[in-house]
Amino acid sequence: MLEIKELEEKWKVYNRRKKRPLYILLILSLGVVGVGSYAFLNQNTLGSKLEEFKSKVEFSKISNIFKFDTKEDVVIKKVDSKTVKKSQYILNAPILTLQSASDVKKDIELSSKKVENSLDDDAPIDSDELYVEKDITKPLVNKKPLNIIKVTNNKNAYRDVERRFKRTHNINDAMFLASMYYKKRNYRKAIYWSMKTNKLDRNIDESWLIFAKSKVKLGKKNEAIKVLRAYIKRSNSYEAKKLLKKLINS
Amino acid sequence: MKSRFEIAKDIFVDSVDIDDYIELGSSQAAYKKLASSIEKPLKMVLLFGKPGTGKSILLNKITNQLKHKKEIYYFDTPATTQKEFFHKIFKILTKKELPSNAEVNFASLVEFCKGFRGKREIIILLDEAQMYDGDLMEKIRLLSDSRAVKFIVSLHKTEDEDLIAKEHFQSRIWEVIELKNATVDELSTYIHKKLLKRNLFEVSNSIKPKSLKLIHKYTDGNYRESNKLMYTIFEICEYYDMNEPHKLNYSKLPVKIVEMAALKLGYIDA
Repeated sequence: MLEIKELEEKWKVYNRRKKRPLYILLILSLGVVGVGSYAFLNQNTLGSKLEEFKSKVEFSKISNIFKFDTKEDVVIKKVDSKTVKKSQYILNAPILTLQSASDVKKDIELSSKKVENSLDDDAPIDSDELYVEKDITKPLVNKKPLNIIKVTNNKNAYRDVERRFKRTHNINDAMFLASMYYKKRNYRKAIYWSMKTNKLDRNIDESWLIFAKSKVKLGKKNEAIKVLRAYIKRSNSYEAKKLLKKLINS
Repeated sequence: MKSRFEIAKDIFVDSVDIDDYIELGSSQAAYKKLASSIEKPLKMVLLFGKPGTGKSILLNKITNQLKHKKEIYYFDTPATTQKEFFHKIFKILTKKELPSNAEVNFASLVEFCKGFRGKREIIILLDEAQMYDGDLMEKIRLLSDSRAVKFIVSLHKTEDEDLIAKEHFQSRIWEVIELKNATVDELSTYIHKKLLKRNLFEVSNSIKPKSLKLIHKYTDGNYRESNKLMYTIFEICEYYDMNEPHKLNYSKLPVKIVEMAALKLGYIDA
Protein backbone atom coordinates (compact mmCIF):
# COMPACT_ATOMS: atom_id res chain seq x y z
CA MET A 1 0.00 0.00 0.00
CA LEU A 2 1.06 3.51 -0.65
CA GLU A 3 2.45 5.69 2.08
CA ILE A 4 -0.61 7.92 1.84
CA LYS A 5 0.22 10.13 4.81
CA GLU A 6 3.68 10.84 3.43
CA LEU A 7 2.16 11.50 0.03
CA GLU A 8 -0.40 13.85 1.52
CA GLU A 9 2.37 15.81 3.22
CA LYS A 10 4.26 15.98 -0.05
CA TRP A 11 1.11 17.18 -1.80
CA LYS A 12 0.62 19.94 0.80
CA VAL A 13 4.14 21.19 0.15
CA TYR A 14 3.57 20.95 -3.60
CA ASN A 15 0.21 22.73 -3.35
CA ARG A 16 1.69 25.56 -1.32
CA ARG A 17 4.50 25.96 -3.82
CA LYS A 18 2.06 25.79 -6.73
CA LYS A 19 -0.08 28.53 -5.25
CA ARG A 20 2.83 30.73 -4.20
CA PRO A 21 2.94 32.74 -7.46
CA LEU A 22 -0.80 33.32 -7.11
CA TYR A 23 -0.39 34.60 -3.57
CA ILE A 24 2.50 36.81 -4.64
CA LEU A 25 0.44 38.16 -7.50
CA LEU A 26 -2.49 38.74 -5.18
CA ILE A 27 -0.34 40.53 -2.61
CA LEU A 28 1.26 42.64 -5.32
CA SER A 29 -2.14 43.52 -6.75
CA LEU A 30 -3.44 44.43 -3.30
CA GLY A 31 -0.30 46.47 -2.71
CA VAL A 32 -0.73 48.33 -5.97
CA VAL A 33 -4.41 48.94 -5.23
CA GLY A 34 -3.56 50.04 -1.68
CA VAL A 35 -0.82 52.42 -2.78
CA GLY A 36 -3.06 53.73 -5.54
CA SER A 37 -5.95 54.31 -3.15
CA TYR A 38 -3.68 55.94 -0.60
CA ALA A 39 -2.21 58.21 -3.24
CA PHE A 40 -5.68 59.05 -4.53
CA LEU A 41 -7.09 59.78 -1.08
CA ASN A 42 -3.99 61.70 -0.13
CA GLN A 43 -4.29 63.76 -3.25
CA ASN A 44 -7.89 64.55 -2.35
CA THR A 45 -6.99 65.45 1.23
CA LEU A 46 -4.10 67.59 0.06
CA GLY A 47 -6.36 69.15 -2.53
CA SER A 48 -9.03 69.98 0.00
CA LYS A 49 -6.44 71.26 2.48
CA LEU A 50 -4.93 73.40 -0.23
CA GLU A 51 -8.37 74.71 -1.14
CA GLU A 52 -9.10 75.42 2.51
CA PHE A 53 -5.79 77.19 2.89
CA LYS A 54 -6.38 79.20 -0.25
CA SER A 55 -9.85 80.23 0.87
CA LYS A 56 -8.52 81.24 4.28
CA VAL A 57 -5.78 83.28 2.68
CA GLU A 58 -8.29 84.91 0.34
CA PHE A 59 -10.65 85.55 3.17
CA SER A 60 -8.04 87.15 5.40
CA LYS A 61 -6.93 89.20 2.41
CA ILE A 62 -10.45 90.40 1.91
CA SER A 63 -10.95 91.01 5.63
CA ASN A 64 -7.82 93.10 5.71
CA ILE A 65 -8.87 95.09 2.73
CA PHE A 66 -12.34 95.73 4.05
CA LYS A 67 -11.56 97.72 7.13
CA PHE A 68 -14.72 99.29 8.31
CA ASP A 69 -15.05 102.03 10.76
CA THR A 70 -17.80 101.94 13.26
CA LYS A 71 -18.85 105.27 11.78
CA GLU A 72 -21.28 105.10 8.98
CA ASP A 73 -19.27 107.52 6.85
CA VAL A 74 -17.09 105.63 4.57
CA VAL A 75 -15.60 106.90 1.38
CA ILE A 76 -14.11 105.32 -1.60
CA LYS A 77 -11.10 107.05 -2.97
CA LYS A 78 -10.75 107.86 -6.56
CA VAL A 79 -7.52 108.17 -8.46
CA ASP A 80 -6.52 111.40 -10.00
CA SER A 81 -8.56 111.94 -13.11
CA LYS A 82 -5.64 113.68 -14.78
CA THR A 83 -3.53 110.55 -14.80
CA VAL A 84 -6.18 108.32 -16.32
CA LYS A 85 -7.56 108.45 -19.76
CA LYS A 86 -9.66 105.41 -20.30
CA SER A 87 -12.52 104.29 -18.17
CA GLN A 88 -13.08 100.87 -16.84
CA TYR A 89 -15.94 99.54 -14.81
CA ILE A 90 -15.02 98.08 -11.52
CA LEU A 91 -18.15 96.11 -10.76
CA ASN A 92 -16.28 92.91 -11.35
CA ALA A 93 -13.32 93.96 -9.25
CA PRO A 94 -12.86 91.32 -6.58
CA ILE A 95 -11.42 93.70 -4.00
CA LEU A 96 -12.70 97.00 -2.86
CA THR A 97 -10.58 99.30 -0.78
CA LEU A 98 -12.74 101.12 1.65
CA GLN A 99 -11.61 103.75 4.06
CA SER A 100 -13.20 105.95 6.61
CA ALA A 101 -14.04 109.50 5.63
CA SER A 102 -11.47 110.96 8.02
CA ASP A 103 -8.73 108.78 6.49
CA VAL A 104 -9.76 109.93 3.10
CA LYS A 105 -9.62 113.53 4.19
CA LYS A 106 -6.15 112.99 5.52
CA ASP A 107 -5.19 111.43 2.24
CA ILE A 108 -6.64 114.35 0.42
CA GLU A 109 -4.67 116.77 2.46
CA LEU A 110 -1.48 114.83 2.07
CA SER A 111 -1.74 114.27 -1.58
CA SER A 112 -3.51 117.50 -2.40
CA LYS A 113 -5.83 115.52 -4.54
CA LYS A 114 -9.47 116.26 -4.87
CA VAL A 115 -12.24 114.05 -3.71
CA GLU A 116 -14.66 114.19 -6.52
CA ASN A 117 -17.61 112.58 -5.12
CA SER A 118 -18.97 111.74 -1.79
CA LEU A 119 -22.17 109.89 -1.10
CA ASP A 120 -24.60 109.79 1.71
CA ASP A 121 -25.12 106.64 3.73
CA ASP A 122 -28.37 105.65 2.11
CA ALA A 123 -27.68 106.90 -1.38
CA PRO A 124 -27.47 103.91 -3.67
CA ILE A 125 -24.33 103.65 -5.64
CA ASP A 126 -24.77 103.74 -9.35
CA SER A 127 -22.82 101.29 -11.36
CA ASP A 128 -21.80 104.05 -13.75
CA GLU A 129 -20.19 105.85 -10.90
CA LEU A 130 -18.09 102.91 -9.89
CA TYR A 131 -15.34 103.40 -12.35
CA VAL A 132 -11.89 104.75 -12.56
CA GLU A 133 -10.04 106.11 -15.46
CA LYS A 134 -6.82 104.43 -16.17
CA ASP A 135 -3.70 105.40 -17.97
CA ILE A 136 -3.97 104.30 -21.56
CA THR A 137 -0.37 103.17 -21.50
CA LYS A 138 -1.09 100.67 -18.77
CA PRO A 139 -2.54 97.30 -19.77
CA LEU A 140 -6.21 96.82 -19.06
CA VAL A 141 -6.77 94.17 -16.48
CA ASN A 142 -10.27 93.48 -15.37
CA LYS A 143 -9.80 91.90 -11.97
CA LYS A 144 -7.22 93.98 -10.26
CA PRO A 145 -7.28 95.46 -6.81
CA LEU A 146 -8.46 99.03 -7.14
CA ASN A 147 -6.19 101.80 -6.27
CA ILE A 148 -9.08 104.02 -5.46
CA ILE A 149 -12.45 104.68 -5.75
CA LYS A 150 -15.56 106.50 -4.85
CA VAL A 151 -17.17 107.35 -1.65
CA THR A 152 -19.72 104.87 -0.51
CA ASN A 153 -20.90 103.24 2.74
CA ASN A 154 -20.42 99.71 4.11
CA LYS A 155 -24.06 98.79 3.55
CA ASN A 156 -23.65 99.39 -0.12
CA ALA A 157 -20.38 97.59 -0.11
CA TYR A 158 -22.16 94.56 1.38
CA ARG A 159 -24.82 94.83 -1.27
CA ASP A 160 -22.16 94.89 -3.94
CA VAL A 161 -20.59 91.79 -2.52
CA GLU A 162 -24.01 90.13 -2.29
CA ARG A 163 -24.75 91.05 -5.88
CA ARG A 164 -21.41 89.75 -6.95
CA PHE A 165 -22.02 86.51 -5.05
CA LYS A 166 -25.29 85.99 -6.92
CA ARG A 167 -23.35 86.23 -10.12
CA THR A 168 -20.20 84.34 -9.25
CA HIS A 169 -21.11 82.11 -6.29
CA ASN A 170 -17.68 82.74 -4.92
CA ILE A 171 -17.35 81.04 -1.56
CA ASN A 172 -15.01 83.76 -0.29
CA ASP A 173 -17.74 86.34 -0.74
CA ALA A 174 -20.26 84.22 1.17
CA MET A 175 -17.78 83.60 3.95
CA PHE A 176 -16.90 87.25 4.08
CA LEU A 177 -20.54 88.27 4.39
CA ALA A 178 -21.22 85.67 7.10
CA SER A 179 -18.24 86.87 9.06
CA MET A 180 -19.02 90.54 8.66
CA TYR A 181 -22.72 90.21 9.48
CA TYR A 182 -21.79 88.27 12.62
CA LYS A 183 -19.38 91.01 13.63
CA LYS A 184 -22.10 93.55 13.03
CA ARG A 185 -24.44 91.44 15.18
CA ASN A 186 -26.81 90.83 12.31
CA TYR A 187 -27.12 87.16 13.29
CA ARG A 188 -29.92 86.22 10.94
CA LYS A 189 -27.90 87.34 7.96
CA ALA A 190 -24.80 85.74 9.43
CA ILE A 191 -26.75 82.42 9.57
CA TYR A 192 -27.98 82.93 6.03
CA TRP A 193 -24.47 83.54 4.63
CA SER A 194 -22.81 80.82 6.65
CA MET A 195 -25.42 78.43 5.25
CA LYS A 196 -24.58 79.65 1.77
CA THR A 197 -20.92 78.98 2.53
CA ASN A 198 -21.68 75.52 3.89
CA LYS A 199 -23.64 74.68 0.79
CA LEU A 200 -20.61 75.48 -1.34
CA ASP A 201 -18.12 73.76 0.94
CA ARG A 202 -19.23 71.90 3.98
CA ASN A 203 -15.75 71.62 5.40
CA ILE A 204 -15.05 75.19 6.45
CA ASP A 205 -14.78 75.29 10.24
CA GLU A 206 -15.22 79.04 10.52
CA SER A 207 -18.50 79.04 8.66
CA TRP A 208 -19.95 76.33 10.95
CA LEU A 209 -18.73 78.20 14.01
CA ILE A 210 -20.38 81.43 12.83
CA PHE A 211 -23.56 79.50 12.17
CA ALA A 212 -23.55 77.93 15.64
CA LYS A 213 -22.57 81.13 17.43
CA SER A 214 -25.28 83.08 15.59
CA LYS A 215 -27.86 80.47 16.61
CA VAL A 216 -26.75 80.83 20.22
CA LYS A 217 -27.06 84.59 19.96
CA LEU A 218 -30.59 84.13 18.70
CA GLY A 219 -31.36 81.96 21.73
CA LYS A 220 -31.25 78.66 19.90
CA LYS A 221 -28.49 77.04 21.88
CA ASN A 222 -29.80 73.48 21.56
CA GLU A 223 -29.96 73.79 17.83
CA ALA A 224 -26.41 75.12 17.82
CA ILE A 225 -25.23 72.16 19.93
CA LYS A 226 -27.02 69.73 17.62
CA VAL A 227 -25.43 71.25 14.53
CA LEU A 228 -21.98 71.31 16.11
CA ARG A 229 -22.26 67.67 17.17
CA ALA A 230 -23.19 66.63 13.64
CA TYR A 231 -20.32 68.63 12.23
CA ILE A 232 -17.81 67.22 14.74
CA LYS A 233 -18.95 63.70 13.96
CA ARG A 234 -18.15 64.28 10.32
CA SER A 235 -15.08 66.46 10.53
CA ASN A 236 -13.63 65.88 14.02
CA SER A 237 -12.92 69.63 14.08
CA TYR A 238 -10.93 70.83 17.07
CA GLU A 239 -12.40 74.33 16.98
CA ALA A 240 -15.94 72.98 16.78
CA LYS A 241 -15.24 70.70 19.75
CA LYS A 242 -13.90 73.62 21.71
CA LEU A 243 -17.01 75.67 20.99
CA LEU A 244 -19.32 72.77 21.78
CA LYS A 245 -17.62 72.24 25.13
CA LYS A 246 -17.93 75.91 25.86
CA LEU A 247 -21.63 75.91 24.96
CA ILE A 248 -22.37 72.86 27.07
CA ASN A 249 -20.54 74.26 30.07
CA SER A 250 -22.05 77.69 29.79
CA MET B 1 -15.65 -8.58 -3.51
CA LYS B 2 -13.31 -6.17 -5.26
CA SER B 3 -13.94 -2.48 -4.88
CA ARG B 4 -14.62 -0.48 -8.02
CA PHE B 5 -11.27 1.24 -7.65
CA GLU B 6 -9.42 -2.04 -7.39
CA ILE B 7 -11.01 -3.18 -10.64
CA ALA B 8 -10.24 0.17 -12.23
CA LYS B 9 -6.65 -0.05 -11.05
CA ASP B 10 -6.19 -3.47 -12.62
CA ILE B 11 -7.50 -2.22 -15.96
CA PHE B 12 -4.49 0.04 -16.25
CA VAL B 13 -1.84 -2.57 -15.60
CA ASP B 14 0.48 -2.12 -18.57
CA SER B 15 0.15 -4.98 -21.00
CA VAL B 16 0.23 -5.77 -24.71
CA ASP B 17 -2.73 -8.07 -24.40
CA ILE B 18 -5.00 -7.56 -27.37
CA ASP B 19 -7.98 -7.67 -25.04
CA ASP B 20 -6.73 -4.34 -23.72
CA TYR B 21 -6.45 -2.86 -27.18
CA ILE B 22 -8.55 0.29 -27.43
CA GLU B 23 -9.56 1.45 -30.84
CA LEU B 24 -8.86 5.10 -31.28
CA GLY B 25 -8.86 7.17 -34.42
CA SER B 26 -5.10 7.24 -34.69
CA SER B 27 -4.49 3.62 -33.71
CA GLN B 28 -7.13 2.46 -36.15
CA ALA B 29 -5.46 4.41 -38.94
CA ALA B 30 -2.07 2.93 -38.02
CA TYR B 31 -3.56 -0.56 -37.99
CA LYS B 32 -5.13 -0.13 -41.41
CA LYS B 33 -1.93 1.26 -42.83
CA LEU B 34 0.07 -1.63 -41.44
CA ALA B 35 -2.40 -4.21 -42.69
CA SER B 36 -2.35 -2.70 -46.16
CA SER B 37 1.48 -2.50 -46.12
CA ILE B 38 1.60 -6.22 -45.40
CA GLU B 39 -0.49 -6.82 -48.51
CA LYS B 40 1.84 -4.75 -50.67
CA PRO B 41 4.97 -6.23 -52.23
CA LEU B 42 7.18 -4.36 -49.83
CA LYS B 43 10.23 -6.00 -48.42
CA MET B 44 10.33 -4.15 -45.14
CA VAL B 45 7.99 -1.96 -43.17
CA LEU B 46 9.17 0.36 -40.44
CA LEU B 47 6.92 0.99 -37.48
CA PHE B 48 8.34 3.58 -35.17
CA GLY B 49 7.39 5.84 -32.35
CA LYS B 50 8.32 6.77 -28.82
CA PRO B 51 8.16 4.06 -26.15
CA GLY B 52 4.62 3.63 -24.92
CA THR B 53 2.88 4.80 -28.08
CA GLY B 54 1.32 1.38 -28.73
CA LYS B 55 3.72 -0.28 -31.18
CA SER B 56 3.86 -3.64 -29.42
CA ILE B 57 0.11 -3.91 -28.92
CA LEU B 58 -0.39 -2.99 -32.57
CA LEU B 59 2.02 -5.75 -33.67
CA ASN B 60 0.28 -8.14 -31.32
CA LYS B 61 -3.10 -7.24 -32.69
CA ILE B 62 -2.05 -7.63 -36.32
CA THR B 63 -0.44 -10.98 -35.55
CA ASN B 64 -3.65 -12.19 -33.96
CA GLN B 65 -5.76 -10.89 -36.80
CA LEU B 66 -3.68 -12.40 -39.56
CA LYS B 67 -2.34 -15.58 -37.98
CA HIS B 68 -5.05 -17.72 -39.56
CA LYS B 69 -4.65 -16.19 -42.99
CA LYS B 70 -0.92 -15.71 -43.34
CA GLU B 71 2.37 -17.18 -42.19
CA ILE B 72 3.08 -14.49 -39.62
CA TYR B 73 5.52 -14.60 -36.73
CA TYR B 74 5.97 -12.11 -33.92
CA PHE B 75 9.37 -11.76 -32.26
CA ASP B 76 8.32 -9.82 -29.16
CA THR B 77 11.75 -9.84 -27.55
CA PRO B 78 14.92 -9.38 -29.53
CA ALA B 79 17.39 -12.25 -29.82
CA THR B 80 20.43 -11.67 -27.70
CA THR B 81 22.84 -13.01 -30.33
CA GLN B 82 22.87 -13.47 -34.09
CA LYS B 83 23.11 -17.24 -33.58
CA GLU B 84 19.90 -17.27 -31.54
CA PHE B 85 18.15 -15.07 -34.10
CA PHE B 86 19.07 -17.34 -37.02
CA HIS B 87 18.11 -20.43 -35.08
CA LYS B 88 14.62 -18.89 -34.79
CA ILE B 89 14.56 -17.99 -38.50
CA PHE B 90 15.77 -21.50 -39.42
CA LYS B 91 12.93 -23.03 -37.42
CA ILE B 92 10.37 -20.78 -39.11
CA LEU B 93 11.65 -21.51 -42.61
CA THR B 94 12.30 -25.22 -42.25
CA LYS B 95 9.91 -26.08 -39.40
CA LYS B 96 12.83 -27.91 -37.88
CA GLU B 97 14.93 -27.33 -34.81
CA LEU B 98 18.58 -26.67 -35.41
CA PRO B 99 20.95 -28.45 -33.07
CA SER B 100 22.20 -26.07 -30.43
CA ASN B 101 25.80 -26.57 -31.41
CA ALA B 102 25.11 -25.86 -35.09
CA GLU B 103 25.37 -22.46 -36.77
CA VAL B 104 23.34 -21.20 -39.73
CA ASN B 105 25.13 -20.55 -43.00
CA PHE B 106 23.65 -17.17 -43.91
CA ALA B 107 24.40 -17.39 -47.68
CA SER B 108 22.68 -20.78 -47.88
CA LEU B 109 19.76 -19.41 -45.91
CA VAL B 110 19.29 -16.59 -48.41
CA GLU B 111 19.43 -19.03 -51.30
CA PHE B 112 16.96 -21.24 -49.49
CA CYS B 113 14.57 -18.34 -49.15
CA LYS B 114 14.88 -17.47 -52.82
CA GLY B 115 13.86 -21.03 -53.52
CA PHE B 116 10.35 -20.65 -52.17
CA ARG B 117 9.74 -17.13 -53.57
CA GLY B 118 6.18 -17.01 -54.85
CA LYS B 119 5.27 -20.22 -53.07
CA ARG B 120 5.37 -19.03 -49.48
CA GLU B 121 5.11 -15.55 -48.02
CA ILE B 122 6.55 -15.31 -44.55
CA ILE B 123 5.94 -12.22 -42.42
CA ILE B 124 8.17 -11.65 -39.42
CA LEU B 125 7.38 -8.88 -36.92
CA LEU B 126 10.44 -7.70 -35.05
CA ASP B 127 9.64 -5.74 -31.92
CA GLU B 128 12.29 -3.67 -30.17
CA ALA B 129 14.47 -3.81 -33.29
CA GLN B 130 16.67 -1.03 -31.99
CA MET B 131 18.31 -3.79 -29.92
CA TYR B 132 19.70 -5.49 -33.05
CA ASP B 133 23.18 -4.50 -34.10
CA GLY B 134 24.04 -3.06 -37.47
CA ASP B 135 25.48 -6.29 -38.87
CA LEU B 136 22.36 -8.24 -38.03
CA MET B 137 20.16 -5.50 -39.48
CA GLU B 138 22.12 -5.76 -42.73
CA LYS B 139 21.54 -9.51 -42.82
CA ILE B 140 17.83 -8.96 -42.17
CA ARG B 141 17.78 -6.58 -45.13
CA LEU B 142 19.48 -9.21 -47.35
CA LEU B 143 16.95 -11.80 -46.26
CA SER B 144 14.11 -9.44 -47.14
CA ASP B 145 15.73 -8.90 -50.56
CA SER B 146 14.93 -12.53 -51.29
CA ARG B 147 11.27 -11.35 -51.42
CA ALA B 148 10.25 -14.51 -49.65
CA VAL B 149 10.46 -13.03 -46.17
CA LYS B 150 8.83 -9.69 -45.24
CA PHE B 151 9.97 -7.92 -42.11
CA ILE B 152 7.93 -5.50 -40.04
CA VAL B 153 10.49 -3.71 -37.92
CA SER B 154 9.36 -1.86 -34.85
CA LEU B 155 11.73 0.76 -33.49
CA HIS B 156 11.77 3.22 -30.65
CA LYS B 157 11.98 6.70 -31.90
CA THR B 158 14.80 8.35 -30.06
CA GLU B 159 17.48 10.58 -31.52
CA ASP B 160 20.10 7.81 -31.49
CA GLU B 161 17.76 5.14 -32.68
CA ASP B 162 16.67 7.33 -35.53
CA LEU B 163 20.21 6.89 -36.83
CA ILE B 164 19.66 3.15 -37.13
CA ALA B 165 16.63 3.81 -39.26
CA LYS B 166 18.56 6.24 -41.41
CA GLU B 167 21.65 4.10 -41.85
CA HIS B 168 20.10 0.73 -42.50
CA PHE B 169 16.70 1.31 -43.88
CA GLN B 170 16.23 4.74 -45.26
CA SER B 171 17.60 3.91 -48.72
CA ARG B 172 15.30 0.88 -49.06
CA ILE B 173 11.81 0.96 -50.38
CA TRP B 174 9.88 1.16 -47.22
CA GLU B 175 6.57 1.85 -45.79
CA VAL B 176 6.99 3.97 -42.71
CA ILE B 177 4.32 4.09 -40.03
CA GLU B 178 4.79 6.42 -37.14
CA LEU B 179 2.87 6.13 -33.90
CA LYS B 180 2.50 9.23 -31.78
CA ASN B 181 1.44 10.11 -28.27
CA ALA B 182 -2.26 10.68 -27.73
CA THR B 183 -3.90 14.05 -27.86
CA VAL B 184 -6.06 15.11 -24.88
CA ASP B 185 -9.18 13.93 -26.69
CA GLU B 186 -7.61 10.62 -27.64
CA LEU B 187 -6.35 10.05 -24.12
CA SER B 188 -9.77 10.91 -22.77
CA THR B 189 -11.40 8.38 -25.10
CA TYR B 190 -8.75 5.83 -24.24
CA ILE B 191 -9.30 6.12 -20.47
CA HIS B 192 -13.08 6.22 -20.68
CA LYS B 193 -13.26 3.31 -23.13
CA LYS B 194 -11.01 1.22 -20.92
CA LEU B 195 -13.24 1.82 -17.90
CA LEU B 196 -16.48 1.37 -19.81
CA LYS B 197 -15.22 -1.91 -21.22
CA ARG B 198 -15.38 -3.19 -17.63
CA ASN B 199 -18.70 -1.47 -16.93
CA LEU B 200 -17.18 1.09 -14.57
CA PHE B 201 -19.58 3.83 -15.65
CA GLU B 202 -19.50 5.79 -12.42
CA VAL B 203 -15.74 5.76 -12.24
CA SER B 204 -15.53 6.80 -15.89
CA ASN B 205 -17.97 9.66 -15.33
CA SER B 206 -16.06 10.83 -12.29
CA ILE B 207 -13.01 11.65 -14.41
CA LYS B 208 -13.72 15.17 -15.59
CA PRO B 209 -11.98 17.07 -18.39
CA LYS B 210 -9.87 19.06 -15.93
CA SER B 211 -8.35 15.89 -14.50
CA LEU B 212 -7.90 14.45 -17.97
CA LYS B 213 -6.02 17.54 -19.09
CA LEU B 214 -3.82 17.25 -16.04
CA ILE B 215 -3.16 13.57 -16.72
CA HIS B 216 -2.27 14.45 -20.32
CA LYS B 217 0.01 17.21 -19.11
CA TYR B 218 1.91 14.88 -16.81
CA THR B 219 2.19 11.99 -19.25
CA ASP B 220 2.42 13.96 -22.48
CA GLY B 221 -0.27 11.65 -23.82
CA ASN B 222 1.96 8.59 -23.63
CA TYR B 223 -0.20 5.51 -23.21
CA ARG B 224 2.23 3.60 -21.03
CA GLU B 225 2.80 6.59 -18.73
CA SER B 226 -0.93 7.27 -18.62
CA ASN B 227 -1.57 3.66 -17.64
CA LYS B 228 0.96 4.01 -14.83
CA LEU B 229 -0.59 7.24 -13.63
CA MET B 230 -4.14 5.90 -13.79
CA TYR B 231 -3.05 2.82 -11.89
CA THR B 232 -1.58 4.98 -9.12
CA ILE B 233 -4.62 7.27 -9.08
CA PHE B 234 -6.95 4.33 -8.53
CA GLU B 235 -4.57 2.88 -5.98
CA ILE B 236 -4.91 6.08 -3.93
CA CYS B 237 -8.69 6.10 -4.48
CA GLU B 238 -8.83 2.52 -3.30
CA TYR B 239 -7.01 3.45 -0.10
CA TYR B 240 -9.33 6.37 0.62
CA ASP B 241 -12.37 4.28 -0.27
CA MET B 242 -11.40 1.70 2.30
CA ASN B 243 -9.91 3.89 5.03
CA GLU B 244 -10.98 7.51 4.73
CA PRO B 245 -14.02 7.68 2.43
CA HIS B 246 -14.82 11.24 3.54
CA LYS B 247 -11.74 12.38 1.63
CA LEU B 248 -13.03 10.98 -1.63
CA ASN B 249 -15.48 12.67 -3.95
CA TYR B 250 -17.11 9.76 -5.72
CA SER B 251 -18.75 11.89 -8.37
CA LYS B 252 -15.60 13.76 -9.31
CA LEU B 253 -12.04 12.57 -9.21
CA PRO B 254 -10.24 15.20 -7.12
CA VAL B 255 -7.33 17.00 -8.75
CA LYS B 256 -5.52 16.49 -5.47
CA ILE B 257 -5.44 12.73 -6.07
CA VAL B 258 -4.14 13.19 -9.61
CA GLU B 259 -1.39 15.42 -8.23
CA MET B 260 -0.60 12.97 -5.45
CA ALA B 261 -0.22 10.20 -8.01
CA ALA B 262 1.98 12.43 -10.14
CA LEU B 263 4.11 13.19 -7.08
CA LYS B 264 4.47 9.50 -6.34
CA LEU B 265 5.56 8.73 -9.89
CA GLY B 266 7.93 11.69 -9.99
CA TYR B 267 6.16 13.65 -12.74
CA ILE B 268 6.18 16.60 -10.37
CA ASP B 269 8.30 17.50 -7.36
CA ALA B 270 7.09 18.67 -3.99
